[in-house]
Amino acid sequence: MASITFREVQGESLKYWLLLGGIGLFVLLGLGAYLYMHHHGHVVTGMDNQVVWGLPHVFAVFLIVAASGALNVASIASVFNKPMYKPLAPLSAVLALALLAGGLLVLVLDLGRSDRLIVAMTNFNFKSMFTWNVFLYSGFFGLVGVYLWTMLDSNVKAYSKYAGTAAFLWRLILTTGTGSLFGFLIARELYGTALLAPMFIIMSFAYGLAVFLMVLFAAYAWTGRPLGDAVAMRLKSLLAVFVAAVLYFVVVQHLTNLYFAKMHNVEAFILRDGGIYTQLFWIAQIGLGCVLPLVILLTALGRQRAWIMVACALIVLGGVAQMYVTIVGAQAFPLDMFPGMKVSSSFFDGEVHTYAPSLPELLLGLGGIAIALLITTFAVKVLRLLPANLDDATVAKLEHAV
Amino acid sequence: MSEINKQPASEDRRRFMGTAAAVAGLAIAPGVLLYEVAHSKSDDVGVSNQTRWGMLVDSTKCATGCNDCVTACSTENGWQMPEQSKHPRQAPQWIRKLELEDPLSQVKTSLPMMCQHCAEPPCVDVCPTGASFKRADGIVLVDRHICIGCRYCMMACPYKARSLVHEPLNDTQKQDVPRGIGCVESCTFCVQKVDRGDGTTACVEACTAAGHNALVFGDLNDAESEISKLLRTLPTKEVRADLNLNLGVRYHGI
Amino acid sequence: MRRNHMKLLMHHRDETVHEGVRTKKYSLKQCINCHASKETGSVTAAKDNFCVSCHSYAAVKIDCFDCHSSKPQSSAMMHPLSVEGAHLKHQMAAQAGVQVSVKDMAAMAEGVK
Repeated sequence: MASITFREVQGESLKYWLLLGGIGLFVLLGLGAYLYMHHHGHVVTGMDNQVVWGLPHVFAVFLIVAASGALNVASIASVFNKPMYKPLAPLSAVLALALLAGGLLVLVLDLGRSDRLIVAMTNFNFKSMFTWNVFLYSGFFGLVGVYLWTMLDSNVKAYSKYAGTAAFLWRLILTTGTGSLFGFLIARELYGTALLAPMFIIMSFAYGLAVFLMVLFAAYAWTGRPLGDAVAMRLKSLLAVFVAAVLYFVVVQHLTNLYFAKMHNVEAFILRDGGIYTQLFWIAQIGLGCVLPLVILLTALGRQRAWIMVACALIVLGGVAQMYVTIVGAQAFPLDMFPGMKVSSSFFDGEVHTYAPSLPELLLGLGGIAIALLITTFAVKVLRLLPANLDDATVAKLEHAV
Repeated sequence: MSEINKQPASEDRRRFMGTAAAVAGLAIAPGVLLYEVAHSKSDDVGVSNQTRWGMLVDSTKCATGCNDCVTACSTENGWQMPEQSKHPRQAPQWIRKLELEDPLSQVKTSLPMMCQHCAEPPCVDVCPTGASFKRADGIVLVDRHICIGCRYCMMACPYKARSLVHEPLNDTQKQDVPRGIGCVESCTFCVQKVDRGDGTTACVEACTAAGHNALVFGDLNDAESEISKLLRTLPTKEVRADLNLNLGVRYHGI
Repeated sequence: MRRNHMKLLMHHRDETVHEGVRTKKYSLKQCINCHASKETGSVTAAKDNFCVSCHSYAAVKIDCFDCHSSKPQSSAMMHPLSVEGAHLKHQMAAQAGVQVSVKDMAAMAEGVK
């Protein structure tokens, strides 16, 4: 087999420390936001008894979904035996771990009683999807950790296919579990559907690959290592397929809902009358997050690195917007306890619930992203994750050697 | 010819019957006594599912603007009335009055809404730590010792019954009703009153005392309780009955 | 008791919350009713109050009183003539050096609602 040289990022450049410092600053801000929220209670956030999961959860779920998707590249390499992807596998695994760590941290730090984490680790209700998720996330760390080990340590390289397959299957179950967190809730009209689990799977494909591409391009550009078009174009085309699939799921979801009279009110809310949620849906999620990236990736623009980066950034933005509409938008619409009746109360029944994210929530969410980036930036420096050379010639040798 | 025995049944036989009856009585009596004892709750034995607590709301007797049940609950359980809170959107409300209007006929209905104490509670299913649980006697509670404040139960509740305590309570809690920051709470059917034998809840007490008589609380498993008798005479419905949760709270007049 | 009080408290709390057992032995409120300080009316307000006296020394944060009231049920409890203030008689007896038998204590405790 043609050999690919993996090498840690060398050098002590100022830019590296500035990068670490910048990311570190957001980590500190996130920590500060957490301490502030924990000390004063959730009264300092925009979340209330009507919209109980807000911006922190949007970021956390996005990071968790992207984490399982980031593992995709490694899975294609180990499970589906595509030689071109094999050099990218270690970075893919580390990025998956880093994104999951960031997402989980945000989720855990937002708990009303985050000091009771040990209670959460020792008292389990096995009927709860949340509990299964706890096991799925922990298992993910373990399995991907082992998988990474098989990729980095030549003594156990032979097991990499098995570890990779296990991690791949686990990550599918994990994302199904994340989608089912909402899919299993019968109370709200936009939840309680089996569609959410596969939709989250396909979203993870898109978001994960978008984040991976951004990290890959940035890492190679900033370390001066060559990254050939063979890799870039293949990944770009794959990303276009995933984004198209996400668009398909969203269209099917809303078209189906629109067929039922009982869903007309909530669909009108999301698609037309929901103010910020409608804007986020059409402009951010559909327009910027799906249509524009598809235009970029499928036309001549997609042959330029800069434009691919733009498309990836738009997909990430659209993904966060999609999470916002899915998580917050569904809560903003009031529960339909008396269908057909007008309801009002002192507890804000029967009216659209307002929600304005607060600064501590935003900083906490950004802190989670920062943690993920910090781990990745640190890992590429100390571990042999990045191939020294991924130009077209090297990649061609890889493909023909098999 | 048989001599008509003018003598009554022999003394022996009478004595035998008497003794037999006495022995039989003695044999059954402890059983009867024990049966009574078994039915009354012994103090250090927990609650059982022989009882199922429930509430009947007669919304035809509920007036728009009447808040007696809400005021009573907040007084008994120590939470602030929403009008008095500095953060009304984040203030816990264990019970609230819903004002309904039919858009076609403009007919108005008023009714209190609180935790429905479902027999199949979605909040219990989704709680990651098991803090949200259903007691044997049907009361759905939050064990605030293990609640981690994740609010998943609030997402799951079809009746928006649950509230998070968003601010520190600064030792203003009632001694009988511990509640704290970061934990989720909801109507407890005044479990502190029920457990000490009051047989009623604060809201029902207040509504009855004020003469509205819209609320009835009692044991759904006891066929002779007031609530069971009323349920057999009045047509009642569950809110969101299509969810099939088998609620402990039933409504007449919706 | 010092080493095992949490085991006791946690077992009792589970019995109370999940089973509804609220006898005096299981009730935190009853502990507080007796052990609340006369001056501060609380078990946690001042450094020498019942719970804080050990916890501040051991530097272990107490979680209980985020939710539980640290004050006894009613101030009338403290009045020596109040039947509910039988504990005070016990305390006074202890201070006077008079022997109070376990049976007497139990009888007084059971007599208090």
